[in-house]
Amino acid sequence: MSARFQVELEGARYAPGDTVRGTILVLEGGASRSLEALLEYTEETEDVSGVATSVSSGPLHAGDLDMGMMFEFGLALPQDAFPNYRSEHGELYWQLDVKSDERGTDTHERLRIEVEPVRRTTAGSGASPDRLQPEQPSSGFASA
Amino acid sequence: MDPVDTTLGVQSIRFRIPQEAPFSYHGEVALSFKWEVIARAHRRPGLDARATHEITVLP
Repeated sequence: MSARFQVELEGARYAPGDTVRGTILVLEGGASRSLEALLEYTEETEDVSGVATSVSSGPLHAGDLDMGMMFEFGLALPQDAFPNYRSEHGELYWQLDVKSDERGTDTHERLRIEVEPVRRTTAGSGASPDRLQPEQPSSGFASA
Repeated sequence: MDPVDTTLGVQSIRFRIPQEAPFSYHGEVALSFKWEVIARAHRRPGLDARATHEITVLP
């Protein structure tokens, strides 16, 4: 039988550099090799989805899981973490993945978290020139 | 946007990045957002002339 978890987080919204803290309660025990918590930045479109980057707690527990066990974790978002973003083309989002490594299919309990962009102060004309950062010199004219 | 004056010399244009616009993001799996400023001159007949300049839009 696969384990079942209940995950509770201390916060609801986060910013880059924040630590995501919470607890994992084992609702139903089961055979497991190890338990870990991961923060994952996920890219998702209609057709494809995958994890672009992740932060792992490392093993929180090794061996079988029993009902009533509780584990605490704290995972730091990178200082340069991108925020969540949704558009008609797809979605970028952070999620917490509690993963029990098991024989056969692993058990996951996933929970999305809100990561907001860093607030920047804008100076000057009301536009947001500080969002613009040139990367390279202009490439010059060419026929297309 | 109105056409830019085509007289010789430097032209200054200001764009406002929409508040809800995506930030520049080079995806690893499925999704990327890239911003470029493109100056394009229509030529009839003939191919358009264009110059592109990639910019980074911060979150």
